[in-house]
Amino acid sequence: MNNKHFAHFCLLLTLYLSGAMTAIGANIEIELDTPRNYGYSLGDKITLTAHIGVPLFYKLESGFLPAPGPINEWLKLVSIESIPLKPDKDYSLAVTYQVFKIVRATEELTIPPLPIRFMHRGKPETVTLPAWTFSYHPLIPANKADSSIEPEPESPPQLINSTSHNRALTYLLGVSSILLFYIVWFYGKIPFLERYSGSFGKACRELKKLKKLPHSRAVTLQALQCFHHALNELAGETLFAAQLSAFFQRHPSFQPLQEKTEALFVISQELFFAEVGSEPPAIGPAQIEKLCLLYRKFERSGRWI
Amino acid sequence: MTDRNLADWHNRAALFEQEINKALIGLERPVRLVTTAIFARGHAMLEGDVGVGKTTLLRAVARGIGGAYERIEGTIDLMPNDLVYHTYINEAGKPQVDPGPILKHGEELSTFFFNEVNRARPQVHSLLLRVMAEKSVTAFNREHYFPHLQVFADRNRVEKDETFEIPSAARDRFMMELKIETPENPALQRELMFNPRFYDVDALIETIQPGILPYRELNDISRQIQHHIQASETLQNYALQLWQATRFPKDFSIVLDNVDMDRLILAGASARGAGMLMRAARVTAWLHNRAHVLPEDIREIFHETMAHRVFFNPTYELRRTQLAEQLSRKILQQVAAP
Repeated sequence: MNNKHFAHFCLLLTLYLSGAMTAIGANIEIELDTPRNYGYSLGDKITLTAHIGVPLFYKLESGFLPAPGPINEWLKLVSIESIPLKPDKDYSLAVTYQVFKIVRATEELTIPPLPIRFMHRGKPETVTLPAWTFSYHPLIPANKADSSIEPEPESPPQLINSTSHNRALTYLLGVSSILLFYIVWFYGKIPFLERYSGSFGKACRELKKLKKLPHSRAVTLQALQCFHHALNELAGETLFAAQLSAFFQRHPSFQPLQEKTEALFVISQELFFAEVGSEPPAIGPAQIEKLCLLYRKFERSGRWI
Repeated sequence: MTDRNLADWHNRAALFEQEINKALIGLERPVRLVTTAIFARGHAMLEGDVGVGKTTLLRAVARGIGGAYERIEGTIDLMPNDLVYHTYINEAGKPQVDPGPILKHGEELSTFFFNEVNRARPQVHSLLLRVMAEKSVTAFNREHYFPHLQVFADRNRVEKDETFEIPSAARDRFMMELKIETPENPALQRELMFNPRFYDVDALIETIQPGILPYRELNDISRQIQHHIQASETLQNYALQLWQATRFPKDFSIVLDNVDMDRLILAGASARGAGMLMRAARVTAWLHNRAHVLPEDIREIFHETMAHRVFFNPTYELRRTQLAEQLSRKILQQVAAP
């Protein structure tokens, strides 16, 4: 080997060992992408990106990656994360450090090599990410005393944008209020907004109007018609006196009203089908309304929203 | 006739039912319906299986009413003349003509039972139609009247071979069409099977007090009942609605399963049918000892008096029994009173 060849070999070796491209045992290739190597000061974060190429049957043991935490008295490992792969590489890691060294003058600092472990055919094999050197500057000029430094006021915490949360909360409160209002109204707990739905609800509304009219046979007949109509609607068929017991067997929740209902049917039959008498009817819309209100109560309690 | 007389007849009607129910067990409803037909002066068609007691019921009714009872079997070779007269060679060797079952008893004929009426030819049906409608028949160059006649016919629902369907006009003449069925109650079935009292029908009929309802007075008492028992305006509206519902069920939101309601009805109940409904309803009210008709009275006899008057489209006529029952039930469910 002549001098020319020797010089060429030395140049290649130097380049190889410089860290731009590292091959461990000619098997694992580590390519380190580094940021600028100057202009860092106290608290700065430095992220080094390592692109690793491995031969067949090598597998990175992610469980053995160094845990975040202090590396030495001035350097802290913040995180090691997998990032999208570079073409022709098998692993890409973003390694973030944070520097806390207090210096009075610009210094050169070196991040020490970081060991990572691979598994090859059941055997562990450790390689290191190369060391990296950068220049580091003090925060306070060298000729200025610490006591003369006026600390910056503490910056308030950055507020999280809560618009969407506010909107969701408003929506939820609105829906809950409407639902609550509906339930209260459904069970007739709002006196000024009495609920008149349901067959007997409607009948009660009609009877309320009839109650205001002067007491007469025609008004009573109309009131009885309201009652019969509501009861038929509730039963799903026309109900006559003979069907009442079957109806109450089918609807046991209304059983307490059977006696009253049968009595009203007797009166109703007399008024509608017997010979018209001159005397005014024994009952009026008020009495019929009382029974209807009871039916409405049972009708409500038997319902499920 | 007075209210007292009506009350007296009411007691007789109760006794009549009681006597018949004593001889025929488990047939309370048919007995009530036949009693209703008797006081409404309507003819009745009985339908039921063989041996369920149709003839026994009619024999018992005939005994309870009194008057003459005649029975004829419908056969395919029966001709109208066979009902009016029959010819034979007498003991003197000369041809002789004697009155047939209809004429035999003259005005005394009170119950005429036409067994298996659908086996008779349409010619016979038309004679029956006249007898039922006019209570008279022309024979031997003169009119014969039967003022107290009530016709009961029986239709066998098991056999349909060699039968002639009764024309709609004839069916409409029957006030009621009622079913006679074997009692479902096991105790009654046991009684019918093991009690020797029911083996001898003649002896059973003999136990019924004869002539409880004097047949000659039935037309008068029927008229009295019809005038005495009141139907309020609400009741009249209800009855009208029921009638209309047999004609236009769709207007009353009546829907039957698997039936095109636009095509179901060919003809609803006739005006005569509606009248018969009210006649029967008034009698029902009277039998319940009331002076006015209630919707329940109409409902009690609605199916029996109206269902056979509703004529279905031929497509549905084959399912008549089932559809007629469904239709009656739905009409009664849908039409309200008041």
